[in-house]
Amino acid sequence: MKTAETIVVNESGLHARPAVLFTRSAAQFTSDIRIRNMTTGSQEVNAKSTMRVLTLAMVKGTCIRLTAEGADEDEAIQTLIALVDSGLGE
Amino acid sequence: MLGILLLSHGNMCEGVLNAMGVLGCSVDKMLALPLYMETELEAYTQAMERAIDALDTGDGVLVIADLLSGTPFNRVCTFCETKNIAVLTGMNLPMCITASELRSGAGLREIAEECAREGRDGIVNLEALMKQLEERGSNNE
Repeated sequence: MKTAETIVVNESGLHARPAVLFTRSAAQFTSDIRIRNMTTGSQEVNAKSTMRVLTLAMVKGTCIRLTAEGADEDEAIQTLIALVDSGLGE
Repeated sequence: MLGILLLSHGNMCEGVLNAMGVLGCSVDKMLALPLYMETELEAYTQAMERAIDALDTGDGVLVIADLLSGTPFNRVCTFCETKNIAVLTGMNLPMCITASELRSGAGLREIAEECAREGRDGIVNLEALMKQLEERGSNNE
């Protein structure tokens, strides 16, 4: 299992468009991937589900934790952390 | 991969498909069939059958209609015995986004159940949510 944390940098937070980009990126990996809003102390949700990710209400400055478990867990964490750090195309 | 067919009175279904495109969702193997005032019913039903056949490449078709007992819903029900379809009503964006994400890996019925669940959970009253968050905040103090 691999875990990493990062901060949401998007001005408008992880709203619908960046959330879809995030989940589509997560869906390319076979590993089980979970995401948690550490700032609010939310439960972990499936990182491949846009609707679940949107329930985390991640605004700018939110600390998120990603957890991946599976054959491609290292690549999954690396890719998704980089994606969030880059601002998810915004 | 599952096919997805959206049905509605007027162009609500096309609007939903458009919204999904704006959000960057996958809209592969998705079709929208609007029913207008002037649409001839038999032609609509035939178009529906052609759409289902085009979308079904072996995993079936999830049909999402706007309204229980509306004409689009009533018409698609005539195919329940002859086509591999699951039908949901109450079309909303959470339901359709979930459908576009759960294309393979689970069976048609399981995917339909999950989409129905996300469709229901996507209906949130802001006032109730704020109250819930306040109560959670005071419970943690």
